[in-house]
Amino acid sequence: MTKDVYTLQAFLDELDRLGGDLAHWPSQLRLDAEALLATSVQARAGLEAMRKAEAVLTWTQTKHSAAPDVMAALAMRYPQVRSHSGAVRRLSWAAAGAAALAFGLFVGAWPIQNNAPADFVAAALEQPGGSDVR
Amino acid sequence: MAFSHLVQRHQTRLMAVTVRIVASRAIAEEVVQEVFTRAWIQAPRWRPQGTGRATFGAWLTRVATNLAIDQTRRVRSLPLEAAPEPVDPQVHPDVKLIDEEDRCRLEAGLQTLSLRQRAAIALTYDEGLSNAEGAAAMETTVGAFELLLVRARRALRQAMMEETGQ
Repeated sequence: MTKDVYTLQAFLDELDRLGGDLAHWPSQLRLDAEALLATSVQARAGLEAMRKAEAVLTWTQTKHSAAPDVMAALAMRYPQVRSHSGAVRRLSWAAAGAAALAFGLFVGAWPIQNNAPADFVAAALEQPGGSDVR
Repeated sequence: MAFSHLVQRHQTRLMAVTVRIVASRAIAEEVVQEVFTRAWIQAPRWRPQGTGRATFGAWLTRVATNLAIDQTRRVRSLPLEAAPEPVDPQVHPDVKLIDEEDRCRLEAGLQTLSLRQRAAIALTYDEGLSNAEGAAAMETTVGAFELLLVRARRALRQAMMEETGQ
């Protein structure tokens, strides 16, 4: 059984995936990389290029900040959206429920007329002269 | 003023990310202003989820990243004479320690990246986000974010190597 050869291309692929700080590489990959770096000029050049790129990225970070008061004041000129908080929603449902209950009580309290259907049907059944039910 | 403190807390890191993406400090300021304006407008509907501060910061980063990409696309679609002059980012005072040629090589490399690749670089190196956090900020999968990052790193590495003649 032959040992897998860790190629330059495999190293460069991992370099692009994991970055130039070998301390953050998985241990086995780091060992393979260190072995390759000991013998390959191209691997060392690739690592150096990646580390330079990352160093410049770090050092050229923008530290700029505008006046926060001005930026906040400019933002606060605009009206805020209305909040639809849970409390407001619950209140709305409660109000709707109360209105429905009040309406029901109002309808329920309406006086029943004398010719209510129940009375009308009872009166009809008591009439003599047969029935139209066949 | 509480909102001013909020701006103060987040604006520097948002500027760092947006400057890297749009390559113009003036445009980056516009983008960050827009981010805070949206934050102010939406504030009454804000609901902290999980760890409130981290989530709010992540929301700001996501909005800033998307706006920066959109704004740069818009600017690139303008006629050349209408586009603003690119401005060198304000760099750390210790940047003099960096070889000027290396800085130019990196800038040249960054120019070859797509906007989304630049955003991946900005979120990783300027914002210090993990791949999962970066993916969330760009509203994509972790795999897609990692692919953006791999391609971006490869382009930058090659830019650094080619220019040195290695």
